Amino acid sequence: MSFTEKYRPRKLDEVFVSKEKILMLKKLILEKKPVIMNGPTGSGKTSLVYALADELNYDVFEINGSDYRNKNNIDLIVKPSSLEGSLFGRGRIILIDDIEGLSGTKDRGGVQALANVLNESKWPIVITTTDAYNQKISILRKRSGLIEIDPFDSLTIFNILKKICDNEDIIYDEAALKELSRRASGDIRAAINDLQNLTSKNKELGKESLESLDDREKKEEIFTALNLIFKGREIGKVVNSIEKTDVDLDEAFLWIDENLPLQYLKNKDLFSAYESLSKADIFNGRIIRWQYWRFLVYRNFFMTAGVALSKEDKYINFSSYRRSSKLLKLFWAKQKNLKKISICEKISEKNHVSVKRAVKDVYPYIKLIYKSGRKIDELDLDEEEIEYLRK
Amino acid sequence: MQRIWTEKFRPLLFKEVIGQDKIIERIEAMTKNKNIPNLLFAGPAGIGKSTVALVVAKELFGDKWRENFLELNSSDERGIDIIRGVIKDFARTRAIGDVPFKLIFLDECDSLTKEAQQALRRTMENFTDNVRFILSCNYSSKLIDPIQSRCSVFRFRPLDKEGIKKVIEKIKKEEGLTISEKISDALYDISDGDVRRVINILQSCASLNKIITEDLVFSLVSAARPKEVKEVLEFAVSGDFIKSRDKLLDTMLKHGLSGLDVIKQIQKEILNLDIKDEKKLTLIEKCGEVEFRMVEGSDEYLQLESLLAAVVLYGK
Repeated sequence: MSFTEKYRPRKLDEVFVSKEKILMLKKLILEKKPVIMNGPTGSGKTSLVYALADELNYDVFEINGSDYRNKNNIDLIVKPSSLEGSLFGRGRIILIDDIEGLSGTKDRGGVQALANVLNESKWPIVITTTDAYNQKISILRKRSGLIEIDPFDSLTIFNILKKICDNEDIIYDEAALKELSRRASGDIRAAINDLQNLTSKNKELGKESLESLDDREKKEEIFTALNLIFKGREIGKVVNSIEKTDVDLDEAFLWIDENLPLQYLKNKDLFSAYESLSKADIFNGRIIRWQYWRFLVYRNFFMTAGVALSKEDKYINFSSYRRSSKLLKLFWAKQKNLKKISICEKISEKNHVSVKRAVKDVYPYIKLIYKSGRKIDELDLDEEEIEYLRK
Repeated sequence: MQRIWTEKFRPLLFKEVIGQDKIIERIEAMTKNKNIPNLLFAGPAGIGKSTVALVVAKELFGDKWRENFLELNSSDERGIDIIRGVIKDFARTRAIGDVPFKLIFLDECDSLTKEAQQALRRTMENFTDNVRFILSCNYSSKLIDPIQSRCSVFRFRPLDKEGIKKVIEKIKKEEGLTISEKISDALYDISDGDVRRVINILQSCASLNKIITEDLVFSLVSAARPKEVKEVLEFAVSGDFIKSRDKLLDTMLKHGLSGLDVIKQIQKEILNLDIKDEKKLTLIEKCGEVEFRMVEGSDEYLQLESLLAAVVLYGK
């Protein structure tokens, strides 16, 4: 279960909104007046409405961003429920959550229809918004009471997160938790979601956990760039795609290499895209060898526009991208090979070969000799190394 | 004491060196005069470059050779700063004995960056009075011209059949091995003229049995040479690019293979693929192009991926 659902305040005394504002809202609702609640995302507007409904023993009739709120829907769904009596004689709050969703061509006439409902409704209507002063809803604003909800301050977020941690047996680093609270910039929902995501694996929040948050921001950036490259064909847009991100060319190259075969499903496309990447790599080799950095222009061109133009037709499927595991594999291989390397260093010393060459050309044979039960005294290997060779 | 055979049988004198006859002749003459220029040895692995450098040192300095000879591996001690530091320290003191210079052997120079090579060139100039350099590399084309022009260049060739057989004969005699003529031939075929490989194969065979049979040789060679490269190619031919490239990375990491090792094997395997001859030709051409690009580029793995993409395209 998501923490945001689990820890959503259900009672009025659990809500972090000032008494004064709660009373204001309660008064308006009891008077069956329409209310606009204005406040940033994750400041607790919706929770407040539900908690108040609980207190008053009211039902909540909610329509939110997931429903189309055009004129028809308002007339067909909202209007009847605003007029009819409720089951078992209980009171009712009509909650239009996040009115911003009511916009554009799909919701044409929605605001006007809603304004009409506001006039006739038997029940209080609560509208939540992050931008009450938007021109679009001015006719609603004129007919409604307005309650401003402030964003959470980071200390409150911190305290809430702390409680959740204690309750969930999550071990946390206090500084990391504070940083997490700060980064949420007043959005309690985001903070709780982040906490759950970061601790879902091992119930621990350390300093390093936050790095993966940065990563997530970066990921969104590189995803946009990859979309341009893999889906697009316009040189002008594609060429600058990586420049616009915080990701450096080397890392972007890994991303492209990793995801290319998942994106370009036609063998021909894949082939020519790799031709382009190959050319990009040649320029990289020249940069390294000659330290001539202007070649970066060409490297960038081939890895972006070159790859983009390698497809015959556009791919229009939705894509998610995965991070390259190459560096990680390199790292693990290195860890695994530490013993091997130390053996090869000894070989290198005695056999007039580089360690690299020893790994490739000498080590396999030395291993065979040791496996057959013999040994080579000259190499001066210790017990551990001998065991490693014989295994 | 059990030794590494490649050391045990490493020639100590010019006349013991097998193969490279013309080169030996010239270098021996220079060494006799106690005056050698900077030398550049180019050629593939395992054919005597380091051996000749060591012989030069021993001939020049006699039993003082260790004091006057410095061996460095460019591919291990990559930073030219390290090399420069070590070289400076070494060159600061005068040569011991009657030869007026010390000798520095810098192996695998082609793994130095161009920048490092420029630094090396200056270092060579700064110490001309009391140091001579022997540089070795696989490809002299990877060295900048100023370095090449400061050295006498010697191109070492892989040993011919006769040379390899001489080596085998010598080891056979001293170690009391039984090796038939046919197996000598087989060993030459496997070796590509690489003496180090032949000797290593012989030593690992002999650690099991002094009577060397064909089965023994081939089982050891295949045990020492990963067969996964073939699987990499098979995945590509069947059209599964992702499996193919994942296997490629795993194989390269597991066995410490360079891109060049892999492409050599791929090139051989292409001939055995079950595809039309015209397609084989196309793929071999691509192989050559990719090998060239590996030399020019920065990421051998990426270049190999581009080869696999070609195999996927032309494979079926």
